[in-house]
Amino acid sequence: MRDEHKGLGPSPKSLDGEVEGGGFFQSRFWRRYRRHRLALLGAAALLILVGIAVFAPLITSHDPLRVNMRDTKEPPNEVYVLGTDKAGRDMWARLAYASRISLSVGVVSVSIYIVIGTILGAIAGYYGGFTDSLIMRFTDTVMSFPGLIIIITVVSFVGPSIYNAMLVIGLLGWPGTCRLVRGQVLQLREMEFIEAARSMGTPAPRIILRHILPNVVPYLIVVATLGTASAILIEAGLSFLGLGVQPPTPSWGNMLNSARQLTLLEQFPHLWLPPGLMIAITVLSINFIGDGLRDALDPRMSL
Amino acid sequence: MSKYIIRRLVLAIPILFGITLIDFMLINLAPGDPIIAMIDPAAPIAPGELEVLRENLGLNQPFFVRYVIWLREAMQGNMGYSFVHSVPVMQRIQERLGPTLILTVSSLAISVLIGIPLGLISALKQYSKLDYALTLGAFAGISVPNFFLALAGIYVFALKLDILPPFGMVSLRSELPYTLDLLHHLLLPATVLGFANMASLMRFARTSLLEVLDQDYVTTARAKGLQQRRILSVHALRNALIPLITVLGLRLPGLFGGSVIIETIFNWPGIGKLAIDSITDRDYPQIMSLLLITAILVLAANLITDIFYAYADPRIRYAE
Repeated sequence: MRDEHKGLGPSPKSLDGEVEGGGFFQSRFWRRYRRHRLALLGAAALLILVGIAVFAPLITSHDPLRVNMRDTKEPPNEVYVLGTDKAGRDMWARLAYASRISLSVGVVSVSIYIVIGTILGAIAGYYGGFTDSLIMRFTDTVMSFPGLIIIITVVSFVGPSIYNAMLVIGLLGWPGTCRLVRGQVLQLREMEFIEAARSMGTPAPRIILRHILPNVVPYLIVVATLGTASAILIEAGLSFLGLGVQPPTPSWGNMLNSARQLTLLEQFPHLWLPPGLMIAITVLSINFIGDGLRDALDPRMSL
Repeated sequence: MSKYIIRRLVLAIPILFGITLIDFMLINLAPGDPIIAMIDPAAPIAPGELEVLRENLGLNQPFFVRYVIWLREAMQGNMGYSFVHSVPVMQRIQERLGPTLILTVSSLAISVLIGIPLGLISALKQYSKLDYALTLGAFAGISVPNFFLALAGIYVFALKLDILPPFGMVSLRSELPYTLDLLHHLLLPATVLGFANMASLMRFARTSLLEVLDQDYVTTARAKGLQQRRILSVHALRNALIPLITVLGLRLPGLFGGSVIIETIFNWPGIGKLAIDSITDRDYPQIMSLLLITAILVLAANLITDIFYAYADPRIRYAE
């Protein structure tokens, strides 16, 4: 753990295979990632999901919001591939449009907390001393919040919506990243190339941005990937409780919520099975990708 | 050892203060008015009456004064009265704590007793078909949301097979003795709640044992000609299980969060359901007390984890 950066050498980008020449498909990163069969499968599945999200209007033939009281709770048939919901809306169209929501919540909230965590972690690690203890005590405090309960409270108070869900997940999710970045910075700042930069009079912000952070990027990529998976799960949970995306806008979580009554559950599995499976498949593929990235970027990084 | 515990306790106090302050801020500065949530929107009410109500509940005071009053009373053990139900908030928590503890502790037991052995087997049979199947299962376990698992569980075991009750903690009328009836109701929610933890404990146990088996002292033990069974029981397993203490401790806060969703789905009369109800009612004192208690539980869990860890691994104790 202690000397995992010794092998990196002075070139901050040596982990990034593309710089080593020969293009992406010859890079060391790709050769390592490729060996991970589940990660390849995950990447393929995620590509399809992104495709569904981007091209949702092209691959669906019904309006996801249009209520049609004549065709409610239709089982899958020729007109409606996956059937219709309680209000006669096309399940496939709702499922496809909902993927936009889940993916964007995942990406946006994780971006927020990666930025916060990286900034705070870098400052704490680089400057040390009082600044460090202040930031780290604050981190400990936020980390001791009872996760989902505080998210539910805040989201319900500021008003349930997709943007608030993104914001709250982002604003409460950063402590893990902060600790990771701080730990890495603590090790890196003692290395010779940083000392060299400092002796040439490079200002601290520039050292952090240009010389330290690029070495942390591989770790951040892994953390961000796995974080996206859990952010998608949290959003789905919030929407399931009625605190995330508000109907009629479709999200996988609120689609599951609207099928919660026992009679619907028993008689119309097409109402809840597809959205549940979509969440599971999305999160599973992202977790596979995260695992593959971890192996490809740094095999010694702990679970 | 006791010095270590005291040091950790002292460190936990400012964190607890920080948590209460942030909680109080989040609740009180967020939009939404408990008075408005309290009154019936259909019944007309004079504006003056609203002000009286606000004054009675102390909501006309500035934010900071309210926090100091709350903190002063909380430190004397008075957590206040529920805005909505006019009973001490602690009374309502006491009623609900039992069911939540039954649920979380049994889910934890399920995840530990199944997850860790499966992970160890997976490591011992590394690269076998069983290992792949278990690893895949573990990935699925951490990826499937618990509410979907809950719905699927209810569908299969309660509605189709009809062998488990779909919700509730006890039946109104049951031929079974109380404990058996409770266990019957507990099985599905506890398993669903423990599933993700089981999966992640399995992954960690596998990695941990593989790492230990790669250590020099295990090679030495092999070179001495020790039997595999003895190597495992004396040298490998104990060291492999130590890091799992931390993993388990880190998982506890999530367990309380998860119980919110599971209790709501299974209509389980616990803390989680109380939390959802008080949040909907904007019942500030009730929410504050719940947040404080979960924060204390989280901090206590962290502390106990660290103490166990220090106990199991002397290097931690003496490094301090």
